[in-house]
Amino acid sequence: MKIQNKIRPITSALLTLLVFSTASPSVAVTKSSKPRPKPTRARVTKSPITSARAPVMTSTPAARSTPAPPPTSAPLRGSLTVFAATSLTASFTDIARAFEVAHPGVKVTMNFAGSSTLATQIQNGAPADVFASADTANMNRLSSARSIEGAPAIFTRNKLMIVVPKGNPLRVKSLADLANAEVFVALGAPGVPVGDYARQILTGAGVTVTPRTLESNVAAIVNKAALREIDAGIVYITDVAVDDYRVDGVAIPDRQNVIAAYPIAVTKASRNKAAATAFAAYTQSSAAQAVLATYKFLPLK
Amino acid sequence: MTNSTTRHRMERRGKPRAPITLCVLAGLGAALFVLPLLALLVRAPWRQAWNIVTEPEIRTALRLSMICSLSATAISFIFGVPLAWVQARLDFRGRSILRAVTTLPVVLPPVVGGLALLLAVGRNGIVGRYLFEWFAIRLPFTTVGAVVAETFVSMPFLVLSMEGAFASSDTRLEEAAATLGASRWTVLTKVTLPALRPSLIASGVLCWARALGEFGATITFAGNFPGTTQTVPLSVYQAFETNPPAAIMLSLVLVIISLVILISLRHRLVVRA
Amino acid sequence: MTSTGDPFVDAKIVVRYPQFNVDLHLEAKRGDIIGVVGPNGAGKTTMLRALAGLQPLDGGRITIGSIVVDDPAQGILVAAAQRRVGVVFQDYRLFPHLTALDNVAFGLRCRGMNRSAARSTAAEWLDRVDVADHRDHKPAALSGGQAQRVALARALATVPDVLLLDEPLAAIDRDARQRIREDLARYLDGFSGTTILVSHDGVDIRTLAKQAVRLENGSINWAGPAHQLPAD
Repeated sequence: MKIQNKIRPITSALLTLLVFSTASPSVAVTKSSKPRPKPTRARVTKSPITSARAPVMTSTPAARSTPAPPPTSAPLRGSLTVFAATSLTASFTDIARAFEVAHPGVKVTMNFAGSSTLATQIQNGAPADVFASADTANMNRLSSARSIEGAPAIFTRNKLMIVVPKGNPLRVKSLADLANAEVFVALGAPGVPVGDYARQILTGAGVTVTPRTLESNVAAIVNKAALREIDAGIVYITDVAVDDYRVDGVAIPDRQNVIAAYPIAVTKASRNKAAATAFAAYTQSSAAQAVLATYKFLPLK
Repeated sequence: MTNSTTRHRMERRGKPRAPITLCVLAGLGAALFVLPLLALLVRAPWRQAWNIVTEPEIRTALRLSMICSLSATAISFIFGVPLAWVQARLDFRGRSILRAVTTLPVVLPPVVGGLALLLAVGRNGIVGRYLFEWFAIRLPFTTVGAVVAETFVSMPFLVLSMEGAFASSDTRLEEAAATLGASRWTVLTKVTLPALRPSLIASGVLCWARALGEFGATITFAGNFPGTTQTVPLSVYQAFETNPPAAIMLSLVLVIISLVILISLRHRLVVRA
Repeated sequence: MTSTGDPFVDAKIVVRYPQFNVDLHLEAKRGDIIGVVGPNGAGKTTMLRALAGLQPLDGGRITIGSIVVDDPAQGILVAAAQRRVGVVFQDYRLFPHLTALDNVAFGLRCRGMNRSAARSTAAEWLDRVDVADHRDHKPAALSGGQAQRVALARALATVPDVLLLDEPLAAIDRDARQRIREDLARYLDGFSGTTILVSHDGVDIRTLAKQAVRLENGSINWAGPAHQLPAD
């Protein structure tokens, strides 16, 4: 009896602790890659060629204007953390590798999630150097909060598509079919670019859809279609292209569609502004644009 | 000399002085819990508080959370108490494996649980496809689905707690009942369970609290839609990005409700034999 | 073995333990009150539990009335709930969440009596054992002597064929023991079935029982009329 007296309070206390620790909302949907190494400041290079004329490369002070692009002779170093919208997962992974090849001293770490999630994380102090959003609204949130260095630049465009499980079991053919109550539709949540674009499209087309679920990033919609749990969703054409072995797509006519403009910017809190600026510029280079094109992103014009 | 001796003797007679190291560590431990709650209170938008809390979306989320968590707790009782009894009192091969499996959701990340549920009873799941084809039953994206997700993660807590209670409960009373002619069912319902009332309450509270706070399994399996499946934790998650003041107020409401229930049951939570 | 005539209870009890075996043969008629005395660990409790159905036999056979309730060789084992055996445990084991009245009514309800009939019958029994005043008290509020009488009433209310008492006076204060022993003798006198009473105290046996046996190391080494029980 005495042992039971002691064990039961301990068991109960442990259980209580376990209950409240596991009940926290895990940030289920961010696709963070490897743990980010501590950012190192770019050091002054002491190579004999450049010692006399190389500008000191620091990443510190809060520059009031857009920093000048670094001279091509001075190598970039350090680590770079890029927060990018989920729809950029495949393309930006390739672009990041290419950037690392071009700049061997730089280590790029990617964090993919819904643009609104990323913007919130940055506003709450997440250590991002670059932010690539799927819409200007989320970028504007950061601009208004003065979290952005200089002006954002549009680096790519996208348009939307209906995603359906492989084989299109319910024979969805157009936006109008989504209004059918038997069709289970998934859209992005309010604030998530793919969701806002979708609602814009549906309103413009005069179609009223009651979605079954509002997802916080576009990959979740694609996954649910791949698992055949939903009958249709509205995602980007690039998502269907990259996952074409798992899902099928139904085109949205251009006259009903919207063009998504993707802005990219360096964050004010970045500790490696040189590399960040270089990366942002790189995404607009012909090399990166070619990569984006292979993933079916729309050209800048 | 006499003074210090007297003082020393008096110190030994009275209440033992609290050991400093333990108190410091305990204080830091307490701070870990108190600080976040304090931060919620400090940063809450008190001036808009009433407006926010009475917004229809907020009330919907709260009502849905209550309905789902209480349903999950009820289901957990109905199936979990018998399961706990079987694990505690019956001896059969594979009992320890069964015990491990029913405890699994306690240590499993909830999202994994949600995915597993999708693969099992989703519309395309190994059992779910028959539910759909034969009965047109579809669990994901429904309130029932949210209840299933919450039950999956919270029932193991009840089973774990009640199994311990059954194992350590007094079989002497049960023997006495048997000699008076009680069937096993009567013994369970009229003798064992009434004697275990404090354990039942504590288990129920644990189970309910876990169900109320569930996020990962719900959002993965049941989805996220206001009024149907967007319980308070999902609502906070969404509001966090689009409407932070609402997120804070929702969190506070949940905290206050939970605190009230826990404090009113504080004497029952630490089970004394 | 201890009386003439057809036995009502015929118990050949064999239970094997690592240290020793209980191996005894006990017979009793209706109306017998058999006292079982012996040192601790002699097997008295095992014997009671085997009769009650709480301890399955390893060998032997128990017959109560004309029914075989335990016969390992034939694979017969009647559960405790199906035997008409009432037990007054040494620690009384009253249900803590029920009042004295509901405790006594418990066995009646189990046997199918409806609630009000069970409660009124229980009230009569409590009256018979002189604890009617405490009928609405929970066990925690009863004195040792009162609890013992409620336990006795609870066992007797179901009108069992056999009544087993395990150290009925062990938990009673020395001062109250004589009075309660006399009360107990009175209650047992009114019982028409077979009573088997276990005690380590020879005074209890000589006062309460009609016949006695002494149990030692698992077997009976003395049997005879209770008043002839050698004092030791």
